[in-house]
Amino acid sequence: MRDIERVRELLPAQADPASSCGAGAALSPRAEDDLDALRRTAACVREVRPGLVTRRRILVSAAAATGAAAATVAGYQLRPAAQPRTRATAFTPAVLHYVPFAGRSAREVLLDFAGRVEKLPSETADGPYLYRKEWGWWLNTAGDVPGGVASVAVPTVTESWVKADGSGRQRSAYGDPIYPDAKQKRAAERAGLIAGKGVKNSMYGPGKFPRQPEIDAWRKVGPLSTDPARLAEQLKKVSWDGGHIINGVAAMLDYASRSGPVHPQLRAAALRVLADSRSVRVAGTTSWQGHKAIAVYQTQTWHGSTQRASVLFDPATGCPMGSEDALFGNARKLNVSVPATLAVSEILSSGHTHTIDGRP
Amino acid sequence: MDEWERFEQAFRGCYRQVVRFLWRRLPPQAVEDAASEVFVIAWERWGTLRGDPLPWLYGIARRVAANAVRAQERSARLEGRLRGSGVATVPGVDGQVLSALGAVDVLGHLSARDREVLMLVTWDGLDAGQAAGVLGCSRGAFLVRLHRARRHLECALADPGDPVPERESESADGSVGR
Repeated sequence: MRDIERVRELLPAQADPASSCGAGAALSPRAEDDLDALRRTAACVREVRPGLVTRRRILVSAAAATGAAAATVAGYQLRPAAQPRTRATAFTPAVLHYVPFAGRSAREVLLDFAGRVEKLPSETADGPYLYRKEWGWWLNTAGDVPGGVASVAVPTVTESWVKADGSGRQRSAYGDPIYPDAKQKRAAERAGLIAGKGVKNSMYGPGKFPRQPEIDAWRKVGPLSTDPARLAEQLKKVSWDGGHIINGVAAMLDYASRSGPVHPQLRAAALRVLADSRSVRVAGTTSWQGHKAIAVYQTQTWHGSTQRASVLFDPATGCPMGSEDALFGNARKLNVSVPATLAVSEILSSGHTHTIDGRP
Repeated sequence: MDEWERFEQAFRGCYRQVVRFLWRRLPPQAVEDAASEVFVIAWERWGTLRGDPLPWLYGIARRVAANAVRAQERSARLEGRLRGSGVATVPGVDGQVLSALGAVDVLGHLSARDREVLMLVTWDGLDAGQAAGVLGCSRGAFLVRLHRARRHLECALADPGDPVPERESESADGSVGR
């Protein structure tokens, strides 16, 4: 008997451990996402952007995470969301677990969401200052540090009071920086990677609040339209972080909120703009602080590395409540254990106040 | 049909087979990421494809899987050093994959080379010429490897208690030496 025939007899198809893998007519959501990412690459004449990390430099790390799952930041206990999870790293929060909306497309979910939001009553501002309390955690890395590795996560809780004219106050409380090991701690300190220590309190005059240039760009667009098609045109006039429309929509809503509570019709229009985007996906999730959220996300794959950029929306109001940048697949030179979060944020409270030391 | 449409057709037609190929060689949690990387590389090299895309994709997948295995083993060794034990406490990738092979325990008694040869023409569904292309060797060399792997498999099935010893060497052209 020929060798091929004999070995096929000895190892029959029914013994194949992968026989049930990938069953079904449709590709998995991950496969569709990957194909979509490649399609966009093809549409840009294969222009590949290494937009994995837009706010930090990439480096080679010599250390592996050892798996601490929680840290304390200025009195807040950060806990991973209570879902089945792969391992958390020592210096990044757990990647959020997403649950798809079974049997419904992203467009259907977002349109339904918009329909509910636009029926909400409009709110009035109780004071000229938009107040927001937000915690965030991002992975600072440096690729040109003497001694090599410098990687650190800096948990931060930030309170901000800002008026429509761009004046206000920002108070940040920094938790202890978290390093994979002592060597990276020394390298990070020498490189000056640490954003700050203890508490930082800053006052700003008109037009001086952080990120004001972005606000100015939105102001030039003119009054924001509640017609989704017109709003989409206005969005195109302002650059979006990482090129993702979800970031454009979140930035637009952030800009709008500086003038007072965002009208439900504008929130609904924003959700309809997202519904019309082919590259947007949605899922249900629970935030790091244990709140239900609708995650609206986009992915980008480059050389085996997939970055998932997400904006979390409050299901009750349609307002953004947080964000996550997560990394999957090949971590490449970043060399963190994947999946990993590169940046996270969640709004702890928000409202309007009359003074820069009031809280809602 | 333009190049993207041909690629998409290949993606949709071959994705499941590529996933199954990787599933037989990697821990389950690494499969999706590896599949993603396979098709990223495939798109970049799409212009070099000649003929049937599936064996070509298997060739890419084989290298992606090998890289993933090496990376995971390096990480496990490093983690072991960080813990002070000097010994990786994470089971080797091969061990995880072999345990997932379940009923076909006999494959655990064979070398990785023999397993690869056998899987290509059985569960991976390739003929000898296609399998040779995946391994980057001549058809004749592949058939020599297959013949040896068959004998090792039969020995292992006859007496699964001991690993099959590698008594023969193979020269660069695939001929077997003693």
